[in-house]
Amino acid sequence: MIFCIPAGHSLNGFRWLLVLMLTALAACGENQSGSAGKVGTAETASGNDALVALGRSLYRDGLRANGEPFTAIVADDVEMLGSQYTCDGCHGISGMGSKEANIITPIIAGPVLFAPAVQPQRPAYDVNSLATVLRSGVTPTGRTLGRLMPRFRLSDDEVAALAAYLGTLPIGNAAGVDDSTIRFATVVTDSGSAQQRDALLAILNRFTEEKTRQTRLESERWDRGTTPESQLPTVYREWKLDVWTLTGPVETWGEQLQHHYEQKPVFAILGGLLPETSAPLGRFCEQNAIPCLLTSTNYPVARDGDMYSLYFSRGMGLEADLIAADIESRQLNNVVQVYCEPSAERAAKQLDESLANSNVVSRHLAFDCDSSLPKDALQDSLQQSPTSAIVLWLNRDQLADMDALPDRPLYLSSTLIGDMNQPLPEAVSKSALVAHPYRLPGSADPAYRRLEIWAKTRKIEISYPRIQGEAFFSAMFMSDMVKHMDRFFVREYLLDLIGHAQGMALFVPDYDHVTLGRDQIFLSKGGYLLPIVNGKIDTASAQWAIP
Amino acid sequence: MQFAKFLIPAVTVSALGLGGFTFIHAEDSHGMTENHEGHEGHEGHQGHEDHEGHQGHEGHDHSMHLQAMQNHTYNLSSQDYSPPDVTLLNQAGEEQSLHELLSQDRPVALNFIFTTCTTICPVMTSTFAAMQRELDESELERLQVISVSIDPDYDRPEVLHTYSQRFHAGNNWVFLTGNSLDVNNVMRAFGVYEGSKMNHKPVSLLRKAPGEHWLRVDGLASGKSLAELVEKNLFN
Repeated sequence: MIFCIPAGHSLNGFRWLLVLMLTALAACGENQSGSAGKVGTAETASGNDALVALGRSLYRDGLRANGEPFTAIVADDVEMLGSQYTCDGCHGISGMGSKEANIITPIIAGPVLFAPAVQPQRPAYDVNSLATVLRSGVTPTGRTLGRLMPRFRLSDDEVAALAAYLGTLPIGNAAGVDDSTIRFATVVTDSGSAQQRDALLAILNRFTEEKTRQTRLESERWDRGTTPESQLPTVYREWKLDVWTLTGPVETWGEQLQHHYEQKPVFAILGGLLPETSAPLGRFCEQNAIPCLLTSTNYPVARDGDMYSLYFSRGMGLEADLIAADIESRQLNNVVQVYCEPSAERAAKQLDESLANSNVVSRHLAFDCDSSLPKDALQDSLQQSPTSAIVLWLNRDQLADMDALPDRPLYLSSTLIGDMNQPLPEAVSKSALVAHPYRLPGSADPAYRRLEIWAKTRKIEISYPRIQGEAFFSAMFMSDMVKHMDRFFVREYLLDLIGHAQGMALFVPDYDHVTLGRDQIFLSKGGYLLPIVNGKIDTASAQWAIP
Repeated sequence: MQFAKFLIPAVTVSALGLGGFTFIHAEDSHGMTENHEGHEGHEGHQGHEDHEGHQGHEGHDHSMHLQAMQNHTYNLSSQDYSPPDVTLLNQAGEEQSLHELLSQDRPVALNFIFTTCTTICPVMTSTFAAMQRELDESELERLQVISVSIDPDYDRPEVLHTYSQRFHAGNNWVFLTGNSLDVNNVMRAFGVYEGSKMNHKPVSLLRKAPGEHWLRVDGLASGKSLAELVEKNLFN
């Protein structure tokens, strides 16, 4: 059984491998086209599908066909279960390997594993040598693998299934990438503030433009020399950034995204501004297996098992949980929530959900954002319930319109208020708690300083620090991740790299306690309840909390 | 720049050929620790180069060399630590004073892990489990096993609970999380703070009783050797 680069791959993209692997791979190419014609019957195809599905289960979940974990020995004598230590843990979902501290895990994606390597030299793996190395740790050249690679108890069929699955893992040029360009899209809407949108695009466009400018001569550089190395195509790609503008009702966004993608596929989504909701984008990214990095939105949502989206934090959902935790700890019995925006409505519902196990009575005062505040209804509600806490899911302008409030626990949303360094409107500034899933106001923020200097030297005005800070980080982050991908433009590899990119936490402006890791969709997991006393933020008594 | 560009493919291609793990042994890792510090954005790169050095021994000599090192996969040292008096959270979400936990009159085995760590942590956790299987029942009951998460913002109690179940942890095994500043102080106190969790190294810490020295095991001991160390040093 010989494994080759899966059919359909542009051999051009693998030229560098061809150079290094010389005739062996060329022979493989012939073989592949020969066998491709034979894999025609539906029966064979479905048999192979089943094999690949089992291989995936073994690789990703450590589970055999009967749903039980396989067993293995690691570190000389330690019995372990497949479910405790999966293949993808170290080798990545992409099979592109990893580097963690001083441990290097190599690439095992089919096109690499089932082709000969030159340095160090080894023949192409086949099912037999794969079985041997998996069971005994001995490679085709007789070398014994390190102790962190388990010795697996796998049947012949299971090894064949793993081999079939590894054969499906690509090593390059996903849709949106060719040998000279890599294409991204940023997603915005035509509703909402045009100034905010322009401020965000000013950052992203400039970053992309400079990125491309830096690599403009790279396309001429390769192919000049005579050594095998100089024959390698450039790792550099010209960056193209499309702006996808969504229009009309949210329900139609999914279709619009799909349409944009089909017109011009992109490798990944880079930033963007969807204040109202990012939910349709999240679905689109999961369905099309497209990494969606760090779109600015008030209320990011992710479903269990989502892996293609990354957000700065849970935003207003997190604010709701911070408020709920405080209401519970103070044993308050009543709360009235005022809101008009869709993200605020979702936050109010999240607050109810977080309080579901306590006996708190929650009343909602929803109003139309275009009409005036429901001041009378709020007064009535507070009179009826003399101990009720108040949650105002309102922006700064709306708060400025508020009448003086009775002396009750009052909660506000930092996301809706915006810049907390500006004084709060008088009606709410005597005593309040602001749910604030961001850095403490007034604290040094070197990452944001970096943006300020970058923008200043380019004469870009910073009028929306949070949104522009997020855009700047998303571009810088993507740039760093893409650089680490080397030649292997595989989307899942990007995700694998993100899971290891803890070092980038230092560069995230405006968010605190950032951690990155496998399966971590939200960069920052907690926030503060900022006490406001007589118009001043009492940052000293603000505690970081992860509800 | 041109030079650097061509170095990268050479490194990558050689990593391709490996087909398995390379673990830089504890003896080697100390020198590297210094190189790693302050390079948060470039985890593993230094290791990559070291790994290259390792690759140079490819062949018979190298496997013999490796074989010889099998018995030296860890380093032992005796240490005095003063862990901070912090309140952490266990996998049940209960507050747990670290001082109280360490003041019990019983032997302690402690390590640092995080649940989204993909390479050494599952092995360290499995090794702790395997070590416990080697002990007899009375020893096992006496031994307090502690795993502290070094990613406390993600590893909340419920996450640690799921993780502990995945490794069939017994009642004597507590998984701790808490405020990241507190956890960083704990790591510093035990000399395992590496700046970034991705530079995390395998370390097991054993102590017979309060007031005694800590036996520090740098590197990945096998389940049996760790159990032997526990029996010899904690239950003698």
